[in-house]
Amino acid sequence: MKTICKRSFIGMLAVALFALASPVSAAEKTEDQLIADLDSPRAEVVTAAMLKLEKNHPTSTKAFPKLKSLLTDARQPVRRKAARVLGVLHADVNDTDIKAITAMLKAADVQEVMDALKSLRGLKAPQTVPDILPLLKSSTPNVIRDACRTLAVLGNKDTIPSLEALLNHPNAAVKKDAQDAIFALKNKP
Amino acid sequence: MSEHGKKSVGAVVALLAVFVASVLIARAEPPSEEKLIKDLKEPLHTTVVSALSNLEVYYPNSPNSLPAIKKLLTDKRPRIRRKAARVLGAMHADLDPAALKDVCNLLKASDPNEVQDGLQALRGLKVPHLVPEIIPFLQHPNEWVVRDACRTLGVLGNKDTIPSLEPLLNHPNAAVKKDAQDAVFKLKNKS
Repeated sequence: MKTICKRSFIGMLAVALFALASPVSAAEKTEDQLIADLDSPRAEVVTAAMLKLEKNHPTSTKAFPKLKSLLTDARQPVRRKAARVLGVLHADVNDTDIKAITAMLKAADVQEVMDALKSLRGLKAPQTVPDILPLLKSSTPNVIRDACRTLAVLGNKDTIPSLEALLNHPNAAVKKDAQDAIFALKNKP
Repeated sequence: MSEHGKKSVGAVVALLAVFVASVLIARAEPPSEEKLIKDLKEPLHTTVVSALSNLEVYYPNSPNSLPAIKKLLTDKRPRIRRKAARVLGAMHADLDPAALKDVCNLLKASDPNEVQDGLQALRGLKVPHLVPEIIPFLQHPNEWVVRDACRTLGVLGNKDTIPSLEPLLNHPNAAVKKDAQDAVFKLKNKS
């Protein structure tokens, strides 16, 4: 009996220690701690911090200066995530920031191009429309789709003729995104 | 061949058959628009819902199915009228006042899912005059409904809609706060 009690006690102690060590019970990092993590040399720490900032502090602008500086980071996942988070948070961006994001539109990796397009549609950047239009002729349907969606937000009625050609695109999803974009642009005042 | 060997061969053949069948299905021609429109009159609701989905995916800019879809807005089966509204919204259909009223009736449903479908349909339509009917949903007890109301107001509203959304910027649910923030951003950028 004594042995059983001892084993149960050790078992419960182990469970308690495990619970304490698990990330669920770990305290959430503060905004300041997350901003400090943006200086980490490890890309995964930086991107995780950006994700947390986006989710937990969506209306705070405190991280913006640091996020903007990461737009030109040499690590691709870091600059892509920085662009996405700035877009999602609708940050006020200047010409230098916009230039850094539009540079991603020329990346060889289509994922980076798509992240830049997604970022731009969260920003006040109608001046980038001429940079986006050539992407409607991309060989990657998903790039074309993101270009349509971004043009729907940033473009105006003059953008419609560039989209109309896609209404006969063989890919039904491209056709639908072009149609949605034209509808949105036609309804702009 | 041993019993074990026979079973292995059987399993490989079955796997191959499944693979070939899935490739054939993936490569199959999309159903014809005529067939899908005909399916809208089928008594089985799953057939109707499937036809509506296929019409949205394969014929997004064809107006041929619109009259038949509009009729389904008053169908007794909730799943059908909900899907009909969603597809008309997705296709950006031009709706007459009677059809619009049918879509708005979804907003009066007791099922929040039906209300959400009504809100999602409206944001695909040219109906900025319905903003006053949508604003009360910002106070709905169901947070998903509040989020959809924010998104729809982001599309249909104008700068005057912003004050109704601003209290939600302090909502305890981060997702509601985010949708309100996105809507305010969109409306502020409308000229």
